[in-house]
Amino acid sequence: MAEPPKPDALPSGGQYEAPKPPPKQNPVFRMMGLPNFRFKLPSRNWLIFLTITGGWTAAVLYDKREKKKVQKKWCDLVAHIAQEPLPVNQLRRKLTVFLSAPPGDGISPSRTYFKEYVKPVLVAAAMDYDVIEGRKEGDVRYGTAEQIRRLRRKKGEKALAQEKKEEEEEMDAERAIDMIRDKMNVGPEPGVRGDLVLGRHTWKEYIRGLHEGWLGPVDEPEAPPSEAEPTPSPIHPPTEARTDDPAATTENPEPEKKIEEEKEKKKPSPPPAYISTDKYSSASSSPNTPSTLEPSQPIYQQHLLGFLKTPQRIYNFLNRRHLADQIGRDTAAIVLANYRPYNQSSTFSSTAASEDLDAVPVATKAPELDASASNSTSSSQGWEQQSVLELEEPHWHKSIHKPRKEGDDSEQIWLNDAVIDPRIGERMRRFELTAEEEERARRIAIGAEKTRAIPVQDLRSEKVKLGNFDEA
Amino acid sequence: MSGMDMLSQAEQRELQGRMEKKQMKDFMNMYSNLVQRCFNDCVTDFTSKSLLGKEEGCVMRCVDKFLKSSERLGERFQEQNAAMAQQGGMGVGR
Repeated sequence: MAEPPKPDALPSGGQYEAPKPPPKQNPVFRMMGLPNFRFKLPSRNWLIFLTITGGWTAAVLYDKREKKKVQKKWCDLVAHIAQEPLPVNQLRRKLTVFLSAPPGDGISPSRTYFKEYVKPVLVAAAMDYDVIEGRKEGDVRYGTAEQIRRLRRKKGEKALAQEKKEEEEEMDAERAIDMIRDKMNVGPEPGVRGDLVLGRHTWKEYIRGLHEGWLGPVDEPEAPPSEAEPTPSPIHPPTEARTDDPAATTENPEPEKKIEEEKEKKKPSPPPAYISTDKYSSASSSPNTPSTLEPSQPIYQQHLLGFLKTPQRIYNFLNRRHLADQIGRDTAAIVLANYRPYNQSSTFSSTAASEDLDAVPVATKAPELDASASNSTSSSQGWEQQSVLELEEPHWHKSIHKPRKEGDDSEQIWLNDAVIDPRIGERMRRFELTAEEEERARRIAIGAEKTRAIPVQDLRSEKVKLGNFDEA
Repeated sequence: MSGMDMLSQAEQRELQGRMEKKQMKDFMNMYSNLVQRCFNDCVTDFTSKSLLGKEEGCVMRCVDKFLKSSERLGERFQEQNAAMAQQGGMGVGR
């Protein structure tokens, strides 16, 4: 027979106690008929696991919900524009969107960025848009300049007497469409269009392309013959003030010859610029330059690469609502067509002064500001266009700072400062949301105001009523 | 049309007649589409013989929009036609 457990078996100092009876059942449970169970916390390890998982999930879901709310706010602000009637012979206002692959990456990140943040607002306002994409460094610059040159050619700036015949016979699909539209009297909606530029790299290329398009020659300058010095006399009689040679070549004869050979084998794509930055002031601008260029809107593009930047990227991922808010605001400004001239001020002037101009939707003020006592003494005036989106530059991938390959003489647009010619810079305009619209957006967010769009009533969803109640 | 001068007078007249018939057919087609769509979508209350106010408004707008949209579509179609002809022509000429 086994002996009853000896008191010695217990740890020293422990007293033998009778097993405790189950604790008194909470009378509430007993009244409800529930069994007697005790609330117990899960174990320590489970707690750690659930905290981490639950915390992460909550952060992500909260951010997603807030982001949706914020985007809905901006969409509601502009939704009434989609319902405005449009005559049959007018085409909807068409934006031009400039997308470019961020340094060190492909174009897909830019495309998904656009689709996720910018497109919802454009779709809510039924805005049409045209995309100029760029995969390499000069693509957007070339695309922009080419579009401008095409516009100039259409307006009648013929290139050369010799090529005139070829030009007239050259018809592509776009020209055919334009001709039909002219015949049928179909034209774009009255009102300003606009340019939407995503990212500082694209912005620099855009500015370069603008200048090249309006200040440069209409057709491609002749590649220089393989001699050391560039000939000062132009080869063909100039119709516009031509530059001596394109930007790709420098004074060194050897790279020139190499490039010459390479060009014969394969054209560098994108083609080099038709005018270099230092020739801006000597070039004459096209007579067709409009008095104000289409307003533009640079949009911040958040793009971080790098393994060590993962904490920063996680933080960005959990805070996408703020990004959506900022981009929604910028895009709504485009859609509502609130624009102002760019500020041409010294670098000391604060941005607070530029916000004062926001109250005037179509500002006709002179761009000069009297913010600072002394103008900057640097040789280039501080243009607002040069400093816009500056915060992006430190985040660019380090690969673009690597020394370039031998013989690669294409222009470095991203690393150089943007050069702005006053004639073009003065004509640029920027979209910025007025204070009144901001207030309205704030009210929509808190629910004090509804969207100006009329809710659509669909009679197809009504049930068919049969019967003979009324013989009238 | 470049092919017209190759036909004789009688053939040209016959072609004209056929084109007119076709256009008439297209027009009647469009009309019946319009009536069917607008009636199906707008009129749901059959407890009374006369059109209700909202049904009447709906029908008017339906006709309006149908015609406007078909005009717009026709414009786009013409443009695309010209573009395709242009590209096709260039492809053949090469």
